[in-house]
Amino acid sequence: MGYGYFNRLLRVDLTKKTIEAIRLPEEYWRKYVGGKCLGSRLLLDYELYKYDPLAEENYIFMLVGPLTGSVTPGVGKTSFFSRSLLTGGYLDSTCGGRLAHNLKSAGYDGVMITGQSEVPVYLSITDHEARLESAKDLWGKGCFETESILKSIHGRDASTAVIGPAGENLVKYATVHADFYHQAGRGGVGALFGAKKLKGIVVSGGIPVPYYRPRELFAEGFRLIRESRPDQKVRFRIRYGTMSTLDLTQKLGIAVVRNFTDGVSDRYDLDLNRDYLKEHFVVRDLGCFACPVPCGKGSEFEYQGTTYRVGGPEYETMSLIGTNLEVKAEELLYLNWLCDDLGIDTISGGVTLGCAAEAYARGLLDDQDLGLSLKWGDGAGFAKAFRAIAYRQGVGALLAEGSRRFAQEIGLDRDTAIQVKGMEIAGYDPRGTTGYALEFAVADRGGCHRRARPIYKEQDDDAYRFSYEGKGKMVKELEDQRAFYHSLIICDFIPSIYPLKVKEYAGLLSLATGWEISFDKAVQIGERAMNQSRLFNVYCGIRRKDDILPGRFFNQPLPRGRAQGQVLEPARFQQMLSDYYAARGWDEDGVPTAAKLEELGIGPGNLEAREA
Amino acid sequence: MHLRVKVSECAFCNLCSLACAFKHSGTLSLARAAIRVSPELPDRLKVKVNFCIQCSQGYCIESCPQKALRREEDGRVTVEELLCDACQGEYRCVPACKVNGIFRSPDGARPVKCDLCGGDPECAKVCPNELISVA
Repeated sequence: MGYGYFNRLLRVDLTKKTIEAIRLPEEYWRKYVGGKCLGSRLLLDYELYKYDPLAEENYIFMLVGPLTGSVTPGVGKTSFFSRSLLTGGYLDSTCGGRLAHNLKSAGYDGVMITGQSEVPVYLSITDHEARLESAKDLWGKGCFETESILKSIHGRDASTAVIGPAGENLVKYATVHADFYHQAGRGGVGALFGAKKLKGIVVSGGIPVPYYRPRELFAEGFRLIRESRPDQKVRFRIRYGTMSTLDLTQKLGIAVVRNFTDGVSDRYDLDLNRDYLKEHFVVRDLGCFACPVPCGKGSEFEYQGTTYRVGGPEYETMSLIGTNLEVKAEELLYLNWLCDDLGIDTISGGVTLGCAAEAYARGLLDDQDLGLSLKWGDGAGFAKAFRAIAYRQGVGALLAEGSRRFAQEIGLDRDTAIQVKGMEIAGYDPRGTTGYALEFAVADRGGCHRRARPIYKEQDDDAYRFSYEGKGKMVKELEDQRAFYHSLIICDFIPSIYPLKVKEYAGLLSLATGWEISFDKAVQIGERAMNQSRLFNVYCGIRRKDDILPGRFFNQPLPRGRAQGQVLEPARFQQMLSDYYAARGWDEDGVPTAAKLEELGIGPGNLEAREA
Repeated sequence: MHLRVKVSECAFCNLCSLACAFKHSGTLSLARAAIRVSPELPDRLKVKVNFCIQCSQGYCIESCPQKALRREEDGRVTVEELLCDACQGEYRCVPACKVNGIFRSPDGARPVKCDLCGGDPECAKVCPNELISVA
C-alpha cells in the first residue's frame, strides 16, 4: 500500500443491498490522485455516459484526496461526481464542513453509490464499516431536522450529508446539505440521491491516515497557519467572508439585477451589502473543519415573527436571490434558510425564478398562469415559489426543471434563461468580463464560476477585462491549476489569500504520499482532469455548439455602471473560443485530439483496470 | 495560570484541538486533544469549548487515589505520568471535574488534560480569530 490513501472505496449497491470495499490499481492513485482527476476518470471507467442520470446504473462517487485528514490549509472539501440530471453531462459538486475529514478518518478514500433502493435508506459509515439503515421516518423532512435527528442517533461528532424535499422530488438543482451549513450546491446531486431513495450519509471515524511523513506534513501545515494568521488578506476574508464580492461586482458594474438586465444594484446601497448584513444579522463565523480562514458566516434573523438561524449569506445567494430578485435583507436571509432547508441550490433557484419574474414583469405570464405572484422584490411570493418547486406543485413542477426547460415549455424567449448547458450561471455578468464569458461557456458542468475565476486577473484593468486577447490561454491555465487543487481536494479560495500555490501544494502532496511531484506534473494532473471531464461531455454529445452563452449577452448592452455599453461581440467571442480550444489541444469543434489524449495518458472507458 | 477562550466568537474549525493533539501526541487524533469544541446546532448558533480551567478547587486532585495530580507553583494542575495508573481504566478524575475539562486517554494511559504547553499553548497560536490566551 502507498501513502496518503487507504486504497479503499466503499461500493454500495442500493438495488442489491450490498456493501463492499474495493481497491483501485495502485498506479491509479499516482496518476489520478483523488478528487476531480480521479472522479472524472471513474465516470469514464464506469461508462456513465451510456446511462440516463436517473437510471439505476448511474453512480454517485463521493471522493476526498490524499491531503484530506491533514491540516493542510483548505483541506475540508468533499466532492461528488456523477452524470448530471440538469445538464445531461459531467457533474462535480463540492461541499465543506467536516464530511471530508470524517470520511478519511473512517478509513475510506471515497464512496461509490449505485442502484436504487425501493424504500428510503441512509448510509451509516464508521471505522472500516458501513450499514444501510431505514430512512422511512426521515423521508419528507427538511435538511435541518433530518441532520438533527441523525446527529442525535450517531453523535455530535458524526458528519451528516442529507437531502431535503427538493432532492426527494427530483428537483434538477437539488443540493446535498452537509453539517448544517455546507452544501454540495450545484448540478443537482441531491436529485440523484433522491432517485436512489438515499436520504443521506452519516460518517464518523478515528483511523489515522498513513502519510509518508506525517509529522513533517502536519508541522508544515501548522507553520503556514501560524505565519499567515496576521496577513491582511486572511483577516479581510475572515471578517467579511464572500459577502465582500458584491462590493467588487457592483463596482465593476457586473452585479446581477433583474435577470441580468442591469449590472448595478439599487439595493446594494440600502441593505444588500456586507456592512449592513454584518451589523444586523451575522452572529459568528462558521469554519470548515481545520480551516484557518473561516469565511462562513452564521446569521440570526426574524421573519414573520419567528427567529431563524442560517449559514450565510454567501455572495452567490446575495447576488442571485438578493440583488437579482431585489428582495430586502431579511427576505434574502429567509429565502436562504428556506432553500437550505428544502435542499435547493440558491444559484440555479435564484436564476430560474429570475427568468420567471422577468416574464411576469413583461406581462407574458400572470398570476393565473403561475398560481402565484412573482413581482421583483416580493419576498413572500418567491418563498411560495421555492416551496412549490421543492414539492413540484403547480408551476413549481416546471420551475423544478431549471430555467432552460421552463422557458422552453412556457414558450418564453430562450435567451431569458440565463444558463449554459442547462446549468444557470453565477453572479458575474459576462458582458463586463470576457474571462468569465469564456469560463461560463466552456465550464464542464455548465455555467460555473469556480473553474477558473478569471476576475482576479481582470479586476484592476478595465481595458483588459473587456478585451478578448489572450483569454483562451489564461482561462485554460487557471482551469488546470484549479483542477489540480480540486484533485487534492483543496478549497480554491485558499491559494488566492495564502502563500500556497501549485508548487507549494505539490510539495505538501509529496510529504503526504512520498511521490516526487514537480510543478509541471502537478499542472498536468489538473489538465488530465479537465480533458477527462471534456471527454465525458463529448461522449454525452456536448460540442462547440454547447459552449455558448444566452443571446442576451450578445445583443443587449449593459445600461449603466462601469461596464455601461458593454456587450459581447459574437465573432470575437467565437475567436476567443477557438483560441481556448487551440490552447487546450482540442479541435475546432471542442473535441480533445488523439494527440492530446495520448500526451495525458487518457484512454476511453477502462473497465478491466478499474478494480485491482 | 490558565487558558482563556473567547467562546462566543469560536468558528469551530477545531484547529485548537488538532494543534493540541499534534503537540502532545504527534498525531491529529481528536481523542488526544485537551481542548474540545462542540457546536450546538442548528437550534442555537452556540458552541461549547471544554478544557481544564486549572480551577482552584482542584476536584481532580482530590479524586486521585495515586496522588498523581498536583498543583504547580504557577497554578497549573499537572499529571505525574509515573504515578498515574488511570485507576485501572476508571479515571476517577474524569467524572470528578465539574467543567468536563479532563478526558480519558484512548489507549488507557494517563488522562488527557491541558498543561498549557508549559505556558506557551499551541492552540493559541493557530486559532484563526485569536480567541485563546493565557491568563
